Amino acid sequence: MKVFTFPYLPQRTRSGLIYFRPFALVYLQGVDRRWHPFPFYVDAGADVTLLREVDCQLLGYELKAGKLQWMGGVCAGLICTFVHQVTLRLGTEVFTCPVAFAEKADVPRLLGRAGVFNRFQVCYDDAQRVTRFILPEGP
Amino acid sequence: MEREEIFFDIPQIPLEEQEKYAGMDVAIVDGKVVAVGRNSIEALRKAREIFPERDVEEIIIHYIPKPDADFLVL
Repeated sequence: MKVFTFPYLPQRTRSGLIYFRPFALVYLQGVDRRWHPFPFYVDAGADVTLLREVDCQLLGYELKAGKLQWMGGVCAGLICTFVHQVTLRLGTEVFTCPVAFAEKADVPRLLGRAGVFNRFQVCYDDAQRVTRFILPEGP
Repeated sequence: MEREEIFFDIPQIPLEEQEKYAGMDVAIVDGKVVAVGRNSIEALRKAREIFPERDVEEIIIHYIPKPDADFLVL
C-alpha cells in the first residue's frame, strides 16, 4: 500500500485567527505535456476538481472546447464551468480525470472527488494536520 | 501488508506575506515567493523572467485568498 501525505497549510481568517486547512500539491499536465504544480484545497464536498479559466489558458486548453456544466455551492449562485479531461500527478500516481474550469475569476482551486477519491482513500488527519492519500493494493 | 508512506512538502507562505499578496497568485521557487501576479499566467511569466533556466515544473503557482471569511465551506 502506498500513502502520499501532504501537510495542512495555515491561513489567517478575517478576525485574525489562524486555521490550518488541507492542501495537496498536484501537478497538471499541459497540452505541451509539461507539468504545472498547484496547491489545491482537498475538498471532499466538491464533486469535481475546479480551477479558473486563466489556468485553462495556462495549460493550453481551449476553454469552450470543454463540456459546459454548471456548478453550485452553499453560498454563491451557479458558476459556469467547462469540463476537460486533464492528466494529473498526485504523489507518484499519474491519471486522467475531469477538471472544471470556471469562468468566474476568483474561485479557489479545489481538488474534488471525480476521478480522485475513487482512486485513493483520502484521510483527513486534523490532529496531525496532514492529509493522506492512500492507494490500495491492486487485486 | 507493507505500507510505504511518502511525505510531500508544500511550501508554507509566511502569514505576513499572505496579507501582502492576498487575492493574488504567487510563484514559488525553492520554497520562496519570487513573483506575484493577478493570475497564474502573470505570476508564471514573471517567475520565468527571473529564472529562465527553470522548468515550469519547478515553479509552484499558489493563490493567496483574501481573509474575507472566518469559516470556509467550499
